[in-house]
Amino acid sequence: MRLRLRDYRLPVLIVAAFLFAWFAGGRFPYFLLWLGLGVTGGALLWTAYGLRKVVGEWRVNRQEAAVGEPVELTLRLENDGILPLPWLELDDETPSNLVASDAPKQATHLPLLGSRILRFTIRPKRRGFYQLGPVRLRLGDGLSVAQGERVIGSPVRLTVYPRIVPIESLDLALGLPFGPVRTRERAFEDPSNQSEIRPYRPGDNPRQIHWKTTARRGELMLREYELNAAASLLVIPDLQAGAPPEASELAIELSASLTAWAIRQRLEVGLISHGAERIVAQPSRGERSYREILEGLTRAEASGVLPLSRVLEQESALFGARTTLAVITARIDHHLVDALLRLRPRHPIMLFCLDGPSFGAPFALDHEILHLLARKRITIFILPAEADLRHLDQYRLYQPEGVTAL
Amino acid sequence: VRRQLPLSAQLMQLGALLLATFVLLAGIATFWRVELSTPKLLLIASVATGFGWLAWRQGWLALLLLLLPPGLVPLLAKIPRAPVWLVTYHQTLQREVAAFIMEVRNLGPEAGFGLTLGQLFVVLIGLCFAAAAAREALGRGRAFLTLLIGSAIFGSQWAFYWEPAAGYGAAFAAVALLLWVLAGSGQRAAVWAESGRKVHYQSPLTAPVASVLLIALGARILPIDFLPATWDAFASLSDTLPILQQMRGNKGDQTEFGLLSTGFSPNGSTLGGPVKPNDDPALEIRLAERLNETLYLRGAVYEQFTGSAWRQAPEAHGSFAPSDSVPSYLHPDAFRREQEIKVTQLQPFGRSLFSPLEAYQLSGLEWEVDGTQMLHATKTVKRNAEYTVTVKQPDWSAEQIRFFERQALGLPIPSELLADVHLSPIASPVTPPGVSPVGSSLENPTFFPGAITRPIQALTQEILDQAKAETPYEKAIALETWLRQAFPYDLNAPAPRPGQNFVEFFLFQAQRGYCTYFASAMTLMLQGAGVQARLVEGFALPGSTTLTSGRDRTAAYVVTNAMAHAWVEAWIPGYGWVTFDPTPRDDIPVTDRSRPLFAPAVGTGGTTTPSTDPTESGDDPRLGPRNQEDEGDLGSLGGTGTAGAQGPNWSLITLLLGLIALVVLSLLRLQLQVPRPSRAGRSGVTEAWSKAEDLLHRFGWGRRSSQTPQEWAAQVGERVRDLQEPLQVAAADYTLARWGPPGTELDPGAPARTTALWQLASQAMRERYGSLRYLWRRLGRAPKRK
Repeated sequence: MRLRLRDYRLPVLIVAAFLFAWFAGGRFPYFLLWLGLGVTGGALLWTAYGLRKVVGEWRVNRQEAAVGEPVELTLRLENDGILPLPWLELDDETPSNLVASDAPKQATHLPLLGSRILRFTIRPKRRGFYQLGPVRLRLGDGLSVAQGERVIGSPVRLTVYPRIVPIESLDLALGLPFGPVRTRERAFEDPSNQSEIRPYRPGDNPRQIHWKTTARRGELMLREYELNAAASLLVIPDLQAGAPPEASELAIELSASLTAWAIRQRLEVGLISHGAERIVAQPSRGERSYREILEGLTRAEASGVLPLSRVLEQESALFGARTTLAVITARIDHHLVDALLRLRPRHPIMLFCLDGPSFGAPFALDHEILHLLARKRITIFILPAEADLRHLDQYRLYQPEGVTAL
Repeated sequence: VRRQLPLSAQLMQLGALLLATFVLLAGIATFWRVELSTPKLLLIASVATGFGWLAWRQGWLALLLLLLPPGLVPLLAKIPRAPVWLVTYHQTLQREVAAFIMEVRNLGPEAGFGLTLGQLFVVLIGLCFAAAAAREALGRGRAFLTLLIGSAIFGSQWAFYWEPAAGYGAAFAAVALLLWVLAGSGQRAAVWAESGRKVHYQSPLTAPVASVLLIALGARILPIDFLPATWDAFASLSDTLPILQQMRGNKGDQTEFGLLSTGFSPNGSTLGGPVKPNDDPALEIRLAERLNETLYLRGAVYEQFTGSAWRQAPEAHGSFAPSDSVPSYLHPDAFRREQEIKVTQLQPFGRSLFSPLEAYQLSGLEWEVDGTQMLHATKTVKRNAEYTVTVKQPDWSAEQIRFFERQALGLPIPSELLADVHLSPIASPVTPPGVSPVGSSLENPTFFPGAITRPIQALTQEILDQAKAETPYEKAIALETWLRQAFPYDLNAPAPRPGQNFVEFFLFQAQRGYCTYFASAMTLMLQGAGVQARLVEGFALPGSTTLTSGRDRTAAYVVTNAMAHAWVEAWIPGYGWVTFDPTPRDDIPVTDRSRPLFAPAVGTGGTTTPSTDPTESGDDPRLGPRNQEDEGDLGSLGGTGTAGAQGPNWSLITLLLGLIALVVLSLLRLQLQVPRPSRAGRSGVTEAWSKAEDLLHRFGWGRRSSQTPQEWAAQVGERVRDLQEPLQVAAADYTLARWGPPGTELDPGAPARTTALWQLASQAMRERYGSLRYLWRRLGRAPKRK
């Protein structure tokens, strides 16, 4: 709480009037003295009183949002004092690089024992965990002789997830058991993805008998599942320091979008990142896993020290069998190539390469290496800075044999 | 940066600026005596305000407009076919400028100027002031400069010349603060719009305007001049700087008494002009008996009229000399009454002491006396100093005066006077102890002719001829009677123009005035008729003055500045100085001189003794019942203890009446919101329900138009459990009463139930919001219904 005079000429007038009244006496100097004291003292007291009597109460319509989603903030100001407040200015001091507010500066007046409701619609610009506010409140008297400032902190916490782009077309690298090309990939049944119910044939797994239908029809019926080559998807963004911030952000956005897409596709999805901290989410399905990964991505910072090749080596023990690896990076060196090639026999790999020059990075992708990796049946995507993540397929470099759309 | 102010804000500010300019110019015009009627002043103020607006919008254009006319008028006047009025104006201006320059060289700061030049000055001041004030208000949203300019102008007027300037200054300051509020609000709106601030409600003006007006009113009625008096060291420091004394408006401790120090001389060194007496207590006096006729307390005596003021003739006053007693200038056989007057000086008047005519002793202070029987302290009399004056107050007898006068002048004594002389005790006079032999004192004093003009002389002669007045006493009586009857008493009398004879102006132009006018005229006319006369300034306590206290068998009175007065003392050969009062004030009748030549109640010799009648003492039933204040210490009564002598405090009365009206209106408003218990049946239910709805609506719990009474009752009932059941019942009652089929029997207890609902709702809201907020919401404007 800070109180100050906006005009220091009035105190000078008061002192002058006081000196005149003191030495010379008389009606007029005393009138000026009382007038100056009344105006200045009254303004200070009014402002100080008003500052003490204003109460702010925050409300927010949601506590979680993705980048760019609107969040409605409401600040209810109440004047508990018996003096009206002729003017109040409110400045939302939430850093503007984090959120965009429709009205960061607002103004009103507060009647005595009255209240006003101020609404702010903010749109987060960056992912993270925020404490919104504070709001700086300025108020004063009618002459603007005195001004008081007070900061109204907000208890409102907001979790801003990375932007999630609904991916519309993406061919996940899977081992396909059927089709024109023979493949060495082995298909697995996905028990969560039921295909049909057919009569039991000898040799079928009795655990797959659908007892309800069997009872209804009077003969043994068996449920059959879709064949699925990929058991799970593990997203591994490169969060080593040194990449352009925009590239790192795109990596995180892509990670979040892939996660959302995988959840929609009922795949198990996990996350491994080595940014400022090591974040590991074991592949799993459902909302809980989704939240876990999104929160991990929310707090991830691209300030890691380990290169991606080392991350892959260190964390390879966590890669389950048949887990598809979605590796996102802007830097490809021979260490990474070696690591990817070592992993390729056991895991389908999707490599999302961020095109460094388009992000202003000094390094560029080596397309020969990329072609080499593609020939080794690693799915390559080259994403420029303004990539439309909804249609990832259009950034696909090469489609090796045996890979088809899911 | 010139901001785009809304048009309404500009208009409001210009309105306040117009008012401020008008007050400023009216003050200046009055102070300089520039004859400008109110419409003309308003026109000048309007033009100046427009000019101010132009100066804000286009400063260079305004500057050009300001400089162009002074340059163009001389050029245009020289064109052969120039309009006559322009040439005349130019010539008049040239002449007045030359005269003004000459006067400045000769007289310095006291130089005056002609009417045309004065009007030009007023216009220029108005333009410059409005330009500065408009640029500050419209451009910066402030009015400090405006306040400062007004303070400087009115302050200097007040300090050097003109006491009422303080009133103008106060009015101007209030208007300047109003302008400040408007300017601040407009500027704030512009800044908000400029910075893209989302504005929910613009700043209201009611509270700031009310507050600044209250502050201005408070500053006007708060006490003045109490600080230096208690700090002797600082007071003595201020005494070392003469300029401070001058700026004090001649109110310093060192300044001798004069009407100037009581507010009766608005123009300082020159006489005349409207006055507004103030009720500041000046003295407190205690007498042995209650006043039954006017008591004249002398404070200063003047002998010589200069045409615009009175001055003291050093020859008449002589030098002050320490003394034990005052010589008498009255015939030893004159009837007198010994009286003791205790005086407490509540205001500093330099060394002046106050006493009636024919005082002869003073105790409590070291004192001196001069040739006019004026008593002076040897040192400056401090505030609250007390002294006691013993006086042999004359009991005027017209017959006695005429007898001794005719005897001294060698004129034949009328037979009716001679008849009384045989019974008169005047052959055995009693001279009070300490009084010097009077024979030598009764020599005719030196004559000091004043600035009398032919018209005054002629008028005097005409009056005296009509009254067939021969002797000085008869002349004095004739003039006193004529003046009392000829002109009315008026405190708002005009002042003469500089250089004009004040008495001539009064007698032939103004023909109305207050004590200074009448006393000056009579003194000068008497001097013109060959009678030695002098003007006396002091305080006059009418016999009707309300007693402040009757404690200790003394009558105490507080003498205020408003009781300051001027009267005449004329020298009657063979008798001495006699008091005359030509001012036709209702409360001061003509001095009673009806005492016969032979005194009816004689104590010892020719001296009447103070009355010892118990009914005249403090227990006199005529004094009215004693109250608590009467028993208290008189010294603590201060200015508020002078109810009878002072006028009513209109500010306080207005404030009180306003407060009472506010309370009554508030009670009425509250009462109107309460259901009337007398209403019964359907209308009783609907009224009580509507009022309950209205009550809850004032607290934000109102029924929406989309809600049925039952829905609303359920909604409110969920939040206020105490109201749940009564609300539901009342909602059913209301539905039946409002929409029930005609002829449906309504439960007789329904109106009472609904009224009880109102009471319950009221109680619930009071508990929820607290008494203060509850009251405020009920008194305030109800929010709009959704």
